[in-house]
Amino acid sequence: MKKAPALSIRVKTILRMMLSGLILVGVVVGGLLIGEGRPSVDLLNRNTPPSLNHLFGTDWLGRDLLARTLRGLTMSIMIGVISVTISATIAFLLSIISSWGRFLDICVNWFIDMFLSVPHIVILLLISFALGGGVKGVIAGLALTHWPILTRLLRAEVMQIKESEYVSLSRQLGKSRLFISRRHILPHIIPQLFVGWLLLFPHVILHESAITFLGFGLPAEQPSIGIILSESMQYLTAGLWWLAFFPGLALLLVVLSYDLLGNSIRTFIDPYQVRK
Amino acid sequence: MLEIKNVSYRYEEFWLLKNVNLVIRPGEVIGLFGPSGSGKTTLAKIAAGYLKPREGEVIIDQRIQGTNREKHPNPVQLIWQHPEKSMNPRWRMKEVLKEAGEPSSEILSVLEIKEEWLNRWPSELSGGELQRFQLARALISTSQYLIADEMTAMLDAVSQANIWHAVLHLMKKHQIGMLAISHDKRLLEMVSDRLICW
Repeated sequence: MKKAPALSIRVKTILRMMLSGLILVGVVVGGLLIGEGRPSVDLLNRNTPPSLNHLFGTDWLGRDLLARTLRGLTMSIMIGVISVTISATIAFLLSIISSWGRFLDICVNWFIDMFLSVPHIVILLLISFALGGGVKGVIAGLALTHWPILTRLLRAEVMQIKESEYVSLSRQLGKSRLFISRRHILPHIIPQLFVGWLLLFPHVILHESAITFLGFGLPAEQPSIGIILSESMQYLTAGLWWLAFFPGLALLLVVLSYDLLGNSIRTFIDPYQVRK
Repeated sequence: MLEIKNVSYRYEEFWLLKNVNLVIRPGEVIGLFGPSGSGKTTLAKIAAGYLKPREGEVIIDQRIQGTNREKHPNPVQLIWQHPEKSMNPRWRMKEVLKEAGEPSSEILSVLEIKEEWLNRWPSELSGGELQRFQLARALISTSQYLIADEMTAMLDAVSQANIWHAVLHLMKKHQIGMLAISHDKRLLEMVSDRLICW
């Protein structure tokens, strides 16, 4: 007999979910509380290293980096919510459509392959650039490039249910495609859809920062981690390490929190993990 | 009258069924006995419209199986061997029945389906209990013919006897024709009016 662990996987999962949820809520609440006016320019305190007054230090205009980071992350999370929701909706619709016929399934697969065959960041840049950049362009670019992997996942699930005996029986009972999609398939893919939605966040946020860093994303006046990081490149040789270090770390923390949250919820609702 | 006319079927090169002819009249039980792999289940699926025959056709009261049944339940219903697979695990039993229509109290009482089972999930019922639900669902859907593919193969003798007793009673009363497929020859000899051995 193995000794039972001090905390069951259930309790551990709940704790992890709470921790990561708390970090994310904290960032957003912090970012919103700071308000529009801050971080204000303070030319007397330019380029000061981290201290008790400015925990993350200040940049070359004397703006508090902690405030900038929190507002940047809030912006990232907002952009993430919108574009991930659009992406997940596309994935959901395409996977349902692919269950409606062989030809439609081939079309959906072809569409997925087309998007996956081009490097992710390249289409992202093209779409964002074509739409004139800015917040709108970034959201459109992110939303239109993050659905293929989730679609593939959901489609596999949908196919499995479609081939099941109870669906073919439903068809023999004269039920329509819409009825089968809504009553048989939908309840089965909602959990996958939700976890997929959460696990897309880290991707989307990192990509948002990446294209902003490269200069194709958000404009310089927007609070954004990507902008902070790309600006800090000019000062790294001057020894202003805190410009890149703390914002980068904060971004990593947020991304890891999302990953933790998504994986914990997956563990939580996956029946195979229950007895472990 | 359910007519299987010159039906042939093959999955790949080998013709599993070749020119099969069979007539099932209302109220009649036809037993079909054969070793495993002889195409019994394939014939069942063809008769119930799950598979299209490569050659020949299935005719239900002058209408070819698989045509003009948009939005209408198929008058030929297949009873699957494993009832737990033929029910959505996320539906309660009353929803499973409702998919076919409103259950009549006669069917529920003859099949000995208890009121409290209706609120359970499929995983909370035994195989025999689920098989009663599967039969009830097929009978509710105004089906005129049942294809029972190893309907009671996974049940103990008592449940087997109970279920067959209930089914035969309902069939004679509502003039439902049945094709009973099994590898249990003694069972088929007891329940069927005619027995076909492959």
